[in-house]
Amino acid sequence: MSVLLPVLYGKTLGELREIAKTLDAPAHTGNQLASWLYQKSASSFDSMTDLPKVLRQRLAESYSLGLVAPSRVDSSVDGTKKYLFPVAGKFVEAAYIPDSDRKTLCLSSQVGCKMGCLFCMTARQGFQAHLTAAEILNQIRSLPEREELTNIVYMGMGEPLDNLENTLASLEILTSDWGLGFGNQKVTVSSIGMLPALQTFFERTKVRFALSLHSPFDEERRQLMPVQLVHPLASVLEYLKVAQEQDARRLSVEYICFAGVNDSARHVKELVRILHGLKIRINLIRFHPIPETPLVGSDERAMVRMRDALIEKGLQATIRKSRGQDIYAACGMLSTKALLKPTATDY
Amino acid sequence: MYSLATGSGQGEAGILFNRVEAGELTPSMAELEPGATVWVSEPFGSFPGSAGPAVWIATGTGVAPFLSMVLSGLGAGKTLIHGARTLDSFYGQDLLAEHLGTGYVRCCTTEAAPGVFSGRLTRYLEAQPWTADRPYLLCGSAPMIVDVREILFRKGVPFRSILAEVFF
Repeated sequence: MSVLLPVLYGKTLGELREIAKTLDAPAHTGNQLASWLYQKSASSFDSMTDLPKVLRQRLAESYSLGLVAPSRVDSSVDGTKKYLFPVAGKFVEAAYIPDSDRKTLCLSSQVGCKMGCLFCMTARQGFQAHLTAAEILNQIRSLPEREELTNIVYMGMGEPLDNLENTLASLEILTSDWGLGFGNQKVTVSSIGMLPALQTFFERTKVRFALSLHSPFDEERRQLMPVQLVHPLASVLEYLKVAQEQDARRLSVEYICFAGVNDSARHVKELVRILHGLKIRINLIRFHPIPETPLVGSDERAMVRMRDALIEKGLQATIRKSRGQDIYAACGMLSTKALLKPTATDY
Repeated sequence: MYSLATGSGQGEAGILFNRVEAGELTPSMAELEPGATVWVSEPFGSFPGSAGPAVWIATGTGVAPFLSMVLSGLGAGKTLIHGARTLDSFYGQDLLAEHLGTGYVRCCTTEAAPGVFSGRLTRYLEAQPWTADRPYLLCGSAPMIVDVREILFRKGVPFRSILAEVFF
């Protein structure tokens, strides 16, 4: 009978030091473990050669490394690769997006999602599980291209701030010198804006933040994003203004353009009004169509017109390149379409 | 985070919850004695109720905001489709039946009773005509919200007429 051992990967330095203590090892063993796990990418306890052999044996008896290889990869003609990682019988997606010198990994923070956004394929799966810090970071560690990565974005499946503690632990490991060593400016967390968690996120991290906005009007945002009923955009922006005054953090807005829904001059005018006082960049995003949606993406002319209007009003606005369309690169498309049609839920 | 299940001006605040044994909160809440002190956050957000006709769709404890609206005097002209697994988990059913009359429809998946639709709420919704002339307010889990929205879209209800409160 196999026994599931606790996973060592994804532990913070503090946790590794505690583990060392429980194994009667000296305190600096925690630092050695962090180095082996996150800097030297050890793939076995045996390879941790500066640890005493008896300690390596005890570690192997008590823990697993928790590394899980992707079970499937789909490659786009544009170089984007969509990886599917198994997690407790389900799957999460991570998208590797090369763009000249910039190599970005878009990773997932939950299996499924409970936010129910109208335009999101992941919402179709419902919420299934939070990813542990190990499972979040495994998407980096077990990525064949991990050595090339320059940027990490938490924009895959799930709402990172709904899985706050695991997201924070993964960010600590990701950005610490003893961890994976990514600069704070190279990591972006994208969220629909859950206020209490957002405050904690700002207090405990220095990474970049991207707000999924999608409509500046309360009524219209409610129709697209149920979270608006609970955490209205006005409250989120009010908090972001205070937070940005305190730490000058780089902020951006994610704005998927839907034809006839949120791409008018009226929307531009209201965006300008509500974002006044924030130093923030607006990323206009093309909509990757999903099945059974009443939404249609704006055409190129409408997006360019919107971008130019925002720039004319003094905002920094860009149209994000669309990547991996031939491999269902919109988050949740692959795992939902190909592999995961949940059994009927008895709700 | 819970929706209030009590009406405005009632002088007390009530919530609905199911005891989830593996949960961090509900087992403790279920053990509370009268007079116990409970710390709550400030309220977040709102779920709009209006005086005109509307269709409310809820599963399980998702009926909470609709109970609140009924108790706040907003029940007239409303249809409430309420889904639950067992007959005893239609929270507030007596009060809802009293206020909404034939506008209160129960859909039960595991037990049968006269006047109760046997089957999933979505099956009931599929079998009915739905019109685009009124708002649809939904409250429940994300899969329920997604399934119901898709049914309503197929029936010709525009997405602008649908508002959803998801169990976060």
